[in-house]
Amino acid sequence: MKKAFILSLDATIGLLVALILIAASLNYMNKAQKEPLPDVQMERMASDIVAVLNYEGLFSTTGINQIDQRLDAILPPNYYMRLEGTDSLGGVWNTNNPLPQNKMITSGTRIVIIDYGIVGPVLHPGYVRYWIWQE
Amino acid sequence: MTKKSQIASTDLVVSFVIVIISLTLIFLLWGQYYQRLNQNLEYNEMMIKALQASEILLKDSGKPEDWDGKLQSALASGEPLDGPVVEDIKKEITVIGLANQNISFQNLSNPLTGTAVLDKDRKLSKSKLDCLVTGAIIPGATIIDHTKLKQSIVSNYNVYVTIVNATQPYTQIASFGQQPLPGLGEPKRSVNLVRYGMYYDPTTKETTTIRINFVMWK
Repeated sequence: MKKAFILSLDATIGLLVALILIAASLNYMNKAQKEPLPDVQMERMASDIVAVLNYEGLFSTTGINQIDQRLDAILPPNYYMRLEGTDSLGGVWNTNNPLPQNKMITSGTRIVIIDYGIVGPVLHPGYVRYWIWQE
Repeated sequence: MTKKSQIASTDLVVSFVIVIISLTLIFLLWGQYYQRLNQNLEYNEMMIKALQASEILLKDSGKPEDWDGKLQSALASGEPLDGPVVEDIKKEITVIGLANQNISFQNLSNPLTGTAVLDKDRKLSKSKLDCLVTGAIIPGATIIDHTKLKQSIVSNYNVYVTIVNATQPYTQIASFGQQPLPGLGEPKRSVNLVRYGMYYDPTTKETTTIRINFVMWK
């Protein structure tokens, strides 16, 4: 009885260890399959959009609502962005889209030169942080 | 004795069956993951190349920088498109980039150094673009064909680029490269990228924000 008990205990522990090892390796395989490159493509697209908005002069002369409207117009369907700008004068602004709780978000930062001049150029360096996600 | 040997052989058969099933499962899973891994590697390679190629197109003027000017000057002086002069200029071109090397809009002064910031990042040149679009300069013909474009940026993959207005209605401004059409060159695998930039037309003196749909396929 004792021998049989020890043998079956041995088999059970062995099986448990094997199952744990298989589960762990499958878990790592699944994690390894998650591709980071589509996220890089999304980040590049967001960086393009921030550059374009800067060239269009939206960070210096217009309000948050205009930036939001322009983002809505430019972004492909089902994509959303949030921007947070900071300039060397200490000004900080945010666009209206709140960050979602349960979505994969890609983010980045772009250094910009913002022209605040009305008659001539009044330039200040700053940076814009951006977040992009899909519906 | 008899009973003991029977138990031993049953034990052997059962364990043998378990081992065979386990080995079969391992080989099946191995093959499946090997195939998936290969597909992922190929997809990753294509995606990286597509990202690099789109970066070059958007941010670089190419090598030489004024490759479009050289070609257009030769054609304007009456050199034929398939003539030796144009062919020589084409051979000189090692990288095709669309960024405008002569920034004529939004030349910002650098507040730190006082010199002009020639920021050509994501600002495309119409002249360079025209060299890739069929009929833009020569009716019915393209100055830079798909083969040259492939040599320059994506080597063994095909590329098809469409440029549209960034906002609706998405009017097509230009397209170039090899379109993946069913029957003609149906893609086995493709990656799609969306990029944004600006486009300045010196004739109309208008700057347009554009969306670039970049498809790389094989």
